[in-house]
Amino acid sequence: MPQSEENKIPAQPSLLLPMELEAKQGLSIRVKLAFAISLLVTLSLGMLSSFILVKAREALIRETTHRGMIIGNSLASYSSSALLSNDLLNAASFTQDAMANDGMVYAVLTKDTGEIVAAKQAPGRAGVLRPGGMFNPPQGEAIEVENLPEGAKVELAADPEGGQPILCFSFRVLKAGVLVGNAHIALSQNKVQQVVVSVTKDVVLLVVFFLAVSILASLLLSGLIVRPVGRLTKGALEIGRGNLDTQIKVESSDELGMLARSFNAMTHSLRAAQEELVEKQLLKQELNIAQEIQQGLLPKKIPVLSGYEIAAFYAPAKEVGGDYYDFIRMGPDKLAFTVADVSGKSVPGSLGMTMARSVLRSQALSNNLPGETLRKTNEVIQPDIRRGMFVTMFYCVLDAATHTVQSANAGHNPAYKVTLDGSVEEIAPEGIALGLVEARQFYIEEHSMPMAPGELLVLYTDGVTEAMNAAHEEYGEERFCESLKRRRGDSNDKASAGVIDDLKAFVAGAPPHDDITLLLIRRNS
Amino acid sequence: MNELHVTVLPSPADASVTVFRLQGHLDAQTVRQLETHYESETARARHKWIVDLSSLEYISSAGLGSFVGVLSELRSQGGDILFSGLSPKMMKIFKVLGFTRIFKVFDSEADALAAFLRP
Repeated sequence: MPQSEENKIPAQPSLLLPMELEAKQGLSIRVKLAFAISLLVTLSLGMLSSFILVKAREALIRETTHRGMIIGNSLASYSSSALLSNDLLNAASFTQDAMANDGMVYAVLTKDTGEIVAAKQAPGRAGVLRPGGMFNPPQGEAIEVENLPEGAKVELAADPEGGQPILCFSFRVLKAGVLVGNAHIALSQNKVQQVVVSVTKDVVLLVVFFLAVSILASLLLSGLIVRPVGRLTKGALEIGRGNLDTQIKVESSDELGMLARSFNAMTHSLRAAQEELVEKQLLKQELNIAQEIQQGLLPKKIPVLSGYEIAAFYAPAKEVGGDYYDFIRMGPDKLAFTVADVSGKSVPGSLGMTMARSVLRSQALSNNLPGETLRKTNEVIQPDIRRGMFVTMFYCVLDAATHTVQSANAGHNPAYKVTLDGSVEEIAPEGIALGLVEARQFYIEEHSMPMAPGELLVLYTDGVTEAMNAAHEEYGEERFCESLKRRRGDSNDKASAGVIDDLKAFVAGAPPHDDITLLLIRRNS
Repeated sequence: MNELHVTVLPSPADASVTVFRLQGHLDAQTVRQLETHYESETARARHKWIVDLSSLEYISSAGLGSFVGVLSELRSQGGDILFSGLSPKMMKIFKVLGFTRIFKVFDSEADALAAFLRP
């Protein structure tokens, strides 16, 4: 059977293309996190070590100053007598003693005029310091020192011989309150520098060590955080590929665990929604097929029979109910017509209908009596029809020359004949529905009646009498017959439309749950 | 959603007869439920059934067809389906479809049982 475009299952709503999801990844969270943690650790270690270095340097300078004060003070107090008496030998020995201290640059004793009495300097220094010469201490930045004796000075001065600045101390030498000269010493800062350099080396080593540890730790830590995210990403990609069975292992009860749980719930709902969608599409497709079969079976046009007016109305229910009607031309004045209802719905129903229609058409022409036609039809259908499925059929043969209607009814609703005086006659020959029982059990009656001028014969399916309104009331045979009586005077097309209007007015928009078929044949007055 | 309640039990008077009591809606959906009972009864070689419809509110053609579907198997085993408790409306459907020519219909379960027990 050809299938129209709209019957094809529509393409699945396209889930995101995996390609888009797998777009190249930039820096991973893991690297970013490790980088951030390392930066933080480096910054804090750097700040901490520079603070320590500054403090260490300050402490060393303080210690050096303190030492210089002691050395200088001692030199000044020991050398007072020697300076007073101009004892060069003793003065030289005092400067020599002073030089025995660590980091000494020079030790000089001068008269108050600045003339050198005794001087010693560290080995390797080029400057000339000789008794009798003038001493000009290097000038520099004054350093504030607590408990500095009167007239004493401490300065941080540039070494005239280059290198690190030196700490220069000057003390007045007093004998019994009288100024007898000055004592000058200088301490190198090399020691401080050495310590600072060595501390710096240690700090750098420590920083490198902690940095390595922090990078390692942050990688491990970020791995712990990022792994569930990785699993979620993998799951999302799987779903993107259409695998809706994906479930993510939930290991924690933190935010990521909750995310994984809601992810699983989402996947579950997605799958359910997709299954429902597919089911709906299949159902819709099936209904489309059924409708197409049914539409193809129904007569394309109403035949013409002289002296008679014929009208048909057919409205399928949403879930194709299995109704059908047909006309079979038996001769110039002879027309067979039928209204039938197959017990199955949708595709099985329409297939049952196809079978019934073909068999009836093949039997109609070779049998004179309608009952015989239906008996043969049952005989052919019954072995093949699905178990439990059956067809009810009202079948008539109208001879327009003799104005006689012969009919048989295989389990279908009775037909109605509406006479000119407005009475409604029920035409109800008995018979078993087609497909229920095998030939030897089958029973059907023949019926024959005249058609007087103006009389109307109505065949219908139970979709008419069982139509329901919103209050679940059935239209019923009584209302239907009343409607037929009311409309009997109209031309057939109008009568058919009027009868349908009455029905529509009753159901007032409630959707039909079964197909509605109505066939009207009236002998012209 | 329309529901069907099926009670299947051996008749108190004769254990070889199975009584189906149907309640609610018997339609294309709920008929599957009934058919599983058919299968379990035939599997146990119980072929004499009384189907009581006195509490059934609605029966669709699929429901009616299901009885015909199982009938030949029961009859070939010496069994049958007897109906009881049909409302006037159901009786009318039975008559129109010709079911009264296929099945025996009784006013009550007891009458149906008596028919089975009659030699």
